[in-house]
Amino acid sequence: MSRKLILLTVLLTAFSALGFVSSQGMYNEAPALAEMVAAGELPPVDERLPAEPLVIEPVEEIGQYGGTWRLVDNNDSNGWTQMTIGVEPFLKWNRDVNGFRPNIVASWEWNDDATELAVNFRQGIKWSDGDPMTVDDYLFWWNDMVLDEDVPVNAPFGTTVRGELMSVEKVDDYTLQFSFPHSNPLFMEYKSRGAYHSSIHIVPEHYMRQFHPAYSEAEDATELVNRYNFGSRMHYPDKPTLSAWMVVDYVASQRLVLERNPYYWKVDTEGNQLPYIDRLDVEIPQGSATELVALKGIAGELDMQVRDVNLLDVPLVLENQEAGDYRVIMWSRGDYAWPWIIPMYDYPDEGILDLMYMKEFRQAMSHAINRDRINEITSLGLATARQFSLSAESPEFQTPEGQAFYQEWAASYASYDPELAGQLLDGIGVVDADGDGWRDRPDGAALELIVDIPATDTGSIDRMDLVKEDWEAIGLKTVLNIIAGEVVSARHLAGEIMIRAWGSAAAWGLVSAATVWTPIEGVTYSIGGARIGDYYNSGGERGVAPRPGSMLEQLQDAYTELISIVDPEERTAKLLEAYQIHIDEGPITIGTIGEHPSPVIVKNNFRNVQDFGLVAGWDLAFPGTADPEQFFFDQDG
Amino acid sequence: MLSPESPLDQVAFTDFDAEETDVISVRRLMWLRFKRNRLALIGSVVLIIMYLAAILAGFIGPYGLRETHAKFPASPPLLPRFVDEEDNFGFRPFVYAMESKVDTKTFKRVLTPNTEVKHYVHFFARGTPYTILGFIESDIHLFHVDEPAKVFLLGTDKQGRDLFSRIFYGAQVSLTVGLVGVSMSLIFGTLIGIAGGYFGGLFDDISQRVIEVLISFPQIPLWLALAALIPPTWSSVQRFFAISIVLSLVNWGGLSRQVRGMVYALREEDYVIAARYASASNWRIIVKHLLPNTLSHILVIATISIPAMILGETALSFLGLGIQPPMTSWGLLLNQAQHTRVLIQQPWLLTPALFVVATIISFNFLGDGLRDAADPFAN
Amino acid sequence: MAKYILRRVVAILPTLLLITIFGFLVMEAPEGDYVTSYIIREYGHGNTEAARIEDQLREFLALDRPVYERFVTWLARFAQGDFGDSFDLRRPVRDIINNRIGLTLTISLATFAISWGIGIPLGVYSATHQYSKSDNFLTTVTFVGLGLPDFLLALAFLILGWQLTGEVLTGLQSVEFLDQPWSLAKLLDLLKHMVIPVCAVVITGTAWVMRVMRGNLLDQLGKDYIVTLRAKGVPERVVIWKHAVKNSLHPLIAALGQTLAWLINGFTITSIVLELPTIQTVYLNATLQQDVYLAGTILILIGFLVLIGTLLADIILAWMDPRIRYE
Repeated sequence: MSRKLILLTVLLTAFSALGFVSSQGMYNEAPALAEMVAAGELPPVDERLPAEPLVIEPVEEIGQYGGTWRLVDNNDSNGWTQMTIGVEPFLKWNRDVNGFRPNIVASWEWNDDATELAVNFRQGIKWSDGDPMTVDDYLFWWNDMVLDEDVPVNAPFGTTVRGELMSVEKVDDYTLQFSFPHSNPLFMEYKSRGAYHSSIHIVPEHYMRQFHPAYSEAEDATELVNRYNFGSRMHYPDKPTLSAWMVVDYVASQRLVLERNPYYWKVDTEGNQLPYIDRLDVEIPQGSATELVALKGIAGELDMQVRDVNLLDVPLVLENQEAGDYRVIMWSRGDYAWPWIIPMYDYPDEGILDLMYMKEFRQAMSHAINRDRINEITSLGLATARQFSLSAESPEFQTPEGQAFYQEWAASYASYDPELAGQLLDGIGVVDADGDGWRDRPDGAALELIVDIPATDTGSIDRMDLVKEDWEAIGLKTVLNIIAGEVVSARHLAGEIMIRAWGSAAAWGLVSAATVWTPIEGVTYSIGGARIGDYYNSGGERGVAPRPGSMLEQLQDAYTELISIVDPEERTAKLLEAYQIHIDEGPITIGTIGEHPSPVIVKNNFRNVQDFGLVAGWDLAFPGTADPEQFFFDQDG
Repeated sequence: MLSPESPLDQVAFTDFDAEETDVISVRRLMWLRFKRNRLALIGSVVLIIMYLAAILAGFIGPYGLRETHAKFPASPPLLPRFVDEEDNFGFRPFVYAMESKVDTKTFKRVLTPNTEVKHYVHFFARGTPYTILGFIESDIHLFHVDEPAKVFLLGTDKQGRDLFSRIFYGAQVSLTVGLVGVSMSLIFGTLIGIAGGYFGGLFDDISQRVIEVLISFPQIPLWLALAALIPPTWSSVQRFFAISIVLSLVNWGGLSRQVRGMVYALREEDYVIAARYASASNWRIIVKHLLPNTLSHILVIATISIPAMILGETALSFLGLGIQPPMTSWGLLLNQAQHTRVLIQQPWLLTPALFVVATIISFNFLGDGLRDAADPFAN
Repeated sequence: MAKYILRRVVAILPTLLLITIFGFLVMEAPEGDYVTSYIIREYGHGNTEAARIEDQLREFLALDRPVYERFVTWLARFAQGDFGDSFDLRRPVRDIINNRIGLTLTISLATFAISWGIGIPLGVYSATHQYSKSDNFLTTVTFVGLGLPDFLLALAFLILGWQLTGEVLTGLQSVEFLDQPWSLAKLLDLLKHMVIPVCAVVITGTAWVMRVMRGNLLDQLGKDYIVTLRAKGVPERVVIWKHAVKNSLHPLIAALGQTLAWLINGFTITSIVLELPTIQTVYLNATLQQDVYLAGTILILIGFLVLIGTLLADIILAWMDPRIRYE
């Protein structure tokens, strides 16, 4: 070899080493991105990341870049993938859902009576097209979408207090000042749960502006709203995002493909830019997701599948673990009842209402149910027999007193005691007056319990079928009205349902779905009936009032007081006091079996998946809360 | 293509005289022909057994319609045996009681027989009470074993219910209610088709337009609208009955067009023209000439429609309009078998399909036999 | 005859209008509208605030207008080739149908051709060998096909396919070929994916054609003219295929209206179970969600096929069988 050539080689090596250092800087990036940087298509990683990127600690180990994550998402129009994996809220739930950690918001400060709030956004976050994210992206949503009459976007929960809107001021590019007409101490928590309450509120202003009728030639807000709503935004791959992966291709009812966001603003503890995984390939089934999941799962064609793994398929899924090269992690549904039996206190029949408002009647209904048998038959014995009592993971139950309280509540009136049930009914005059074998109303009219269930909810149907047997065994005639889900919901909102049964989501005392324990919203999962909740929510303008002095009214009053209590400890104490109404007057709504395990199928080379997860309920956003950006494919093993 | 050797008088003989002069012998001839058709005989015997079994479901099945065995969901068949653990053979069938536990590793149910006690199968023994035809009450079962032993000839479903017993309860719905709908749409289709083809003209024009509308009709919204109208206290059998009536009002168009096409050709046949010249009434021509000549096609359509109705019922179940638990039907039983785990791990849940197939084959052979017999002079 | 055809052709447009009006009325019949079903679904997905924009959304989608007004407006735009937008997919109806019609017709024409291609000869064989062992065997096999529900067959084939190939062959294309230009590899991939749906649908389709063919041919074979033809020494093959079979095709041809509609309206359940990207699943969802412009456009398409089919059927019948006269 000539000396010239050697010299050249040495020089070249030195140069490339220099180049390596300068392009590498503080942070590392995926090889594909490094190539783009080298080709000049992308700025270096240090420039793409914020000055202080959010550091995510891996669950098991530092990961490797690469791979395509295959999964099934049965939720076409709302994009479950986007609503869980893609959620980037103000704050993010801790991985064990016990509290929140900073995310887009780096810090915040309340005044003493929780009416003024200063919020500092993380500086230097960039949208997936490289445009910087500032508080203007939030203000555009608030001022030009929510407050603009011509744009059908609503003011979400928490932004109004007692019917009055909050106001927001821009302090600087990264600081917002919120003002509330009354104390609103839970605002940050409201803003941090699920997709609808948080991440959807920060929109790429620079992109959205071109579709807003006020700033462009657009005739109406159609194009703007299409890009905003979950139901349609997947159609616009050009829309910038803050999520770890961005949509590159979407075929409705078939497939959603996402690729890494080169500007994602989180790194691991060694300074590797996240996410580790290159692509998500999401199959959207038209038919039964559970069957597709079962088949693809055992065939080893799913890398990590969280939803729609049927509990009854567990033996099948476990049997094929080795052949399919996957493992099964038991997360929890976090449900408090499946089915959850909701007596409706807005049913238009006073005779029935008299019974519903009688706690002995409800106690009889509850004691008549053989919960262990339901568990054994429908849930492989893996669920927990219990009363309605919110999710065990709810933060107010995490202290020793809270835990004790929870145990008492969950056990209340939950024992299987048909004899006691019969006595309770005898005591209130619900006896077989006409000798036809069925108990009648105290006024002598025939009594028939009608339970509405959507025909597609086979889980609830199977379980209610057993409850029906139990109720009929103590002489309560029961009819299951199994009918189209659309019809059930319409009947529900119109107040035509006597009793409703369905599978519950996870519910937290105040932050998530409080309306399941106190009727405060006009929604279908409101305790006691949508119209009772609507009455509260509309300040008495619409809906049906609970009977004066009844437990429902007590619960509503307790809630009104609770949400403005600023001190967290005082709030928790009062919350448990409010729950006590459920024990004293209970059960107000009836639980059966809950805390179902939720099997998660994970390929053996798919790493950094934690053992804990709660999949029922959008607010908790699992697996998003388990930080999917640090999941990775182990390419050595 | 017309045969020169079919003189008019011969037609007149078979059609007018035969019936009046030789009624008994024609009937006898039909019966003889039918009897000669072995498959048709087998078919009718199978159907008689099926219907009897449906009526006597409570007696034949060892367990009640709703009887759940909490420890035995999705259990494989537990059959009576003649040979015990020590290889001793006996003529009295018996079963061992089974201990059932969920394996904490595989989540499969493990059944361990308790071989110490033999539970003999009792015939005509007392068990769960039931009623036959709504008024005969009894608790005698064809066969039965004493608790805690179980006998599941075809295994159990996911709710721990004896499939063997449920199949006969399901037959009560599938062999009756569903068939009402089929027969109604056959009658509508045939009548309107024959009338349209025979009379032609305005009636034909209108009925054809109606059929075109019906064929292209979007059915789902209709069912949705009806679903909201049905009172919640109706049982699923009542609902399904109502729906099958509506279904028959919507579904006759296809058959009607086929029959009409055939009649258009038939009405120009010599014997029809002859009958018209002989001033036979329209009704007589339709019943004596057109209907018999389209009958075999109608029978074919009938035999094809029966399975479609038995199985198709479940297509509406996602709207709550098919049969729903606790009632059952063959369609529902098969719908519940629509799982990967069933096909791979619980194949016994597919046995209702055998009953469906046996039934429709029997209907078909019976139909063939009847058609042949109805035409006793054919070759 | 020419007059008759002309009269029928003229009748197509009013009948199509009738079909559309009826269809629209039925779609409006269930309580609520698209906005109601949208809000209910949003509730289910955690968007509890959706109801607040109910009226706004209705105005936005013009659903606050009376039915007849919306219908007439839409129809007027339809006549100009603008089919409107799908409420749910927020895209032009034309795009949605364009995206799916190709694959839908590919699969339905393939199954149609195979069912008829197998069904007619088998039916003829069965009829000419009535009550023979092979006839009884074929009868049994067809009824096994008819007695197994289509949803179960589709799933069973899917599992069988997996056990044979190690691949779960849902849909009609592998991921890597979605949105790719056509190539030989993509075509082969499509063919591979078509095997399962075609098998599942062909089983019931063939059974229908075969049973109808057999029944009608048996009728023809019993007729005098067949005896005469045979007596005259006409070769059996000619007797059967040229005379008897031709005369037994009536019902199959009369069903052409349904058959054409079936091409985009049949085997919905199989489509759903096997994840086939066909028009039928879009139609089902659109009718369920009262996505009326999308459903309405597909309805008009179906109605049009039915009308063309029935007209063609009547013309072919008259042409094949000179006895048939329409007055």
